[in-house]
Amino acid sequence: MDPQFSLLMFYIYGFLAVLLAVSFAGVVYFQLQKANRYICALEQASAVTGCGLVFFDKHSQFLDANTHAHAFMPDLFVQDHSSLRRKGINIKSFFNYCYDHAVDVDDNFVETLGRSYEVSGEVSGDYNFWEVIRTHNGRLCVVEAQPLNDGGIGFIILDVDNVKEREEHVLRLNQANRELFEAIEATTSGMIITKADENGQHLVTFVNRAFCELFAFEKEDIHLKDLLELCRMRGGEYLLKRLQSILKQEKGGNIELRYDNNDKANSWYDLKLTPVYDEDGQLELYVGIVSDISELKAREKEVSNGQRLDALGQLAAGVAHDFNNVLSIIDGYTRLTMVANEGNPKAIGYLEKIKTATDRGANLIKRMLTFSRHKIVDEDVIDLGETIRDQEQLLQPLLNASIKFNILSDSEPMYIECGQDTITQILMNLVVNARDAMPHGGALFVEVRYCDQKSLPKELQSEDEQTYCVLSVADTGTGIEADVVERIFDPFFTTKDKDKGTGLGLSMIYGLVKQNGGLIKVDTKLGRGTAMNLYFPLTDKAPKAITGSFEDVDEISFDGFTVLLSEDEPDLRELVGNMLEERGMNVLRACDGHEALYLEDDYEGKIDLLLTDVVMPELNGVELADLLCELQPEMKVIFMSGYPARGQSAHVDIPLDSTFIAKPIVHEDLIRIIYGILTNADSGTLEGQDIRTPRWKSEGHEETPPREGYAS
Amino acid sequence: MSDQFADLKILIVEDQGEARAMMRNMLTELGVTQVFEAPDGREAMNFIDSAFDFINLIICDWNMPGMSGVELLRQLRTVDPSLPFLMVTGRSDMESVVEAKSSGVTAYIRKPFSPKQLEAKLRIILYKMAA
Repeated sequence: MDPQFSLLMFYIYGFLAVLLAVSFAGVVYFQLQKANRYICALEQASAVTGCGLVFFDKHSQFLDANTHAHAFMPDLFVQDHSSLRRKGINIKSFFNYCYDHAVDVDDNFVETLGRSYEVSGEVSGDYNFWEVIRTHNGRLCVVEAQPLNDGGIGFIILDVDNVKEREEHVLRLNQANRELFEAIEATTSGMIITKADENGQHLVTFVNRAFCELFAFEKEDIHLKDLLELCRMRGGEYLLKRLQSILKQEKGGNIELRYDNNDKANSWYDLKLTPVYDEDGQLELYVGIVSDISELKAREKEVSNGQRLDALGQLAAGVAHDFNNVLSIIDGYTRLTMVANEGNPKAIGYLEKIKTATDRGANLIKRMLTFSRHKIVDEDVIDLGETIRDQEQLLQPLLNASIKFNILSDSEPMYIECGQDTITQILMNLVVNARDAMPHGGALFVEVRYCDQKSLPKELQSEDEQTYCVLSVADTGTGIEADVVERIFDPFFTTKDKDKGTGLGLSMIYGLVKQNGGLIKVDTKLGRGTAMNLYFPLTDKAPKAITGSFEDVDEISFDGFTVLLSEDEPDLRELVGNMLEERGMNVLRACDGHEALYLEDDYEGKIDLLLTDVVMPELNGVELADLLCELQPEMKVIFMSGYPARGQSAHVDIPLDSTFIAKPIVHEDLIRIIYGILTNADSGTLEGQDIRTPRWKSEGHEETPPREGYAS
Repeated sequence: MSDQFADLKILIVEDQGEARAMMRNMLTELGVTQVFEAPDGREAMNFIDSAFDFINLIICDWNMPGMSGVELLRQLRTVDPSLPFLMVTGRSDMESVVEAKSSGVTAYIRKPFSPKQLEAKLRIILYKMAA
């Protein structure tokens, strides 16, 4: 062969070989590019699911794996893909890896493994491989074979924990959705969701059970109905206009509507519409919440009623104040004229009449001031139950025979801070009102009971958990009209004839109960009757109480009573003072009449008893008692004197109707005298008696011999 | 009538003429001989300024138009911290009594009052003045 020809042939073949090699390389390159794109797409898809992907070609040779596969099996894919391919990692080493890490070797796996050996590296295309492995970081993964169209095989590696977490997450979401739905269904507030459509309508897409019950709708009947149409079905013209205005503005708003449904008349509701906008700022939904505001409305009414009564109270106080000024002048001059006419009984008689009239006027003012809460409340502690029981005798004569009268009270003591007279005043007014409401007879119940926090009216429920008792006066009378109920506490408001009532009774009760930190609730039904419930706060303070008896002096005590002791002899003052303190009395000690006056002025409570020496410098005991009785009209007085009997004192004339104890003071006798005067028991027998021969001792017995006592 | 109140020089501050006259009569009955009158707080302060140290007791109504009794007392205390002051009040709720006491009155008396009640208050004031 011509060497040149041979060389030419060599070049031609060489060129063809190079061309073939380049073509082959190009094909391989494009194939790889295609595979890479395929992997890239899968990579993106698997990033969402978190699964690993491994591919082998039909010759069981490794083709590619995604990053998740690398993460699951980092010790298998220690090198980059091109080195792996060069090194010839094949399906066998992949199976071995799975076998080494399997947590439960599946029969399929062994079978598959065997078959893969049989075909000595050729993939048969019908693999049914599924195995669970534990990866290097302890996570459980499912490895599943998936034959590919080109005869290769892919393996999907799914993180079981991850899948489980996702499933749990979905379950939790479902659970949360269900709970949310149940909560919306269970709530007592009505809920409605509407969706705005292109025609400007707001179609109902959701309503909860409360909404349906409230407006008597069936869910399916109103689904996809226009909100305005619903409004036409149940509401009036005002509601429709208001709703149209809110919907037009697209900003939401609320409407208060009065709606009488089957269960409750006079109910008030608040419909609050909140708009929801889409991403483009277009109105998409309205969420409407309907709340029952009947109680709030009732409370508002009560507050405004209370404010009205306060204003009336201020007005009444103003009128009372001016009236009081005028009355003071009349009263003052009457008293001065009485002093100037001491020797003229006819004039004194006329003046007494003026004084009686001014006293009546003063009493009226007191009642007006009581309503306006401008009067001192006497702060005695009383057992309300016992006080009520004691009133029966007083109340019975007010009622006629056609009225059945019942007094009920718990036997447990219920202490409140209130004067006994106050309770009497309250009861008499309420009982007379109840009687007048039953012209044809009926039943009247006066009841006192303990009221726990649950049964308290909302106005009185508080965090400090103050406890209350309730005094209830209930009748089976005519009941009170709604428009009258609103005004019954107004001063001078009355439905009675002019000569029967001033219209101040209930105003006064209102003021008294308010001053005591309590509340009045009126429960009335036309034709059925009325119950006036008065709530009084209970107190921990001990009530004033006298215990013991004349016969058992040692047991006598005067808990909570206040005595003003005026005695110029320090030792005797201290001795008597201590003695009375031991008997539970609060003792104010004065060394003379002026200090006694000063102590009275300074003391803010009620003084029950003045125990005073008769002969004292400057202001004697009788003068002191005379002045103090003007300031403390209910105060009782006992005079102490070194002279053994009345009239023996050269300086001071003790009034004949006063109570007197001679010095030296005998402990037991003083206690008996105080007991008598404070309980009003047998006080007549004490008057004018020398304590050494008290009648309760001497009657039918031998005269008691003089005992040793204390003297100044 | 004893002369225990003979040394008292009293200024009555009261907006109502009849009430002032009645108070004057009562005081006269009690033996007070030196009684002066002012119809409102402003005139009362003018009187005190012009006749400083002359009077030794003020009897003043609580409720007066313009300057109230409490306002007068506050002003008075800036020039004379110790001049005895008897407040006459138609109000008798506990809050008013506490307010009257805390504002520094020497004593207070409630309307309507009798000559004896007024006498008791004057005695208390004398006792406090002597103490």
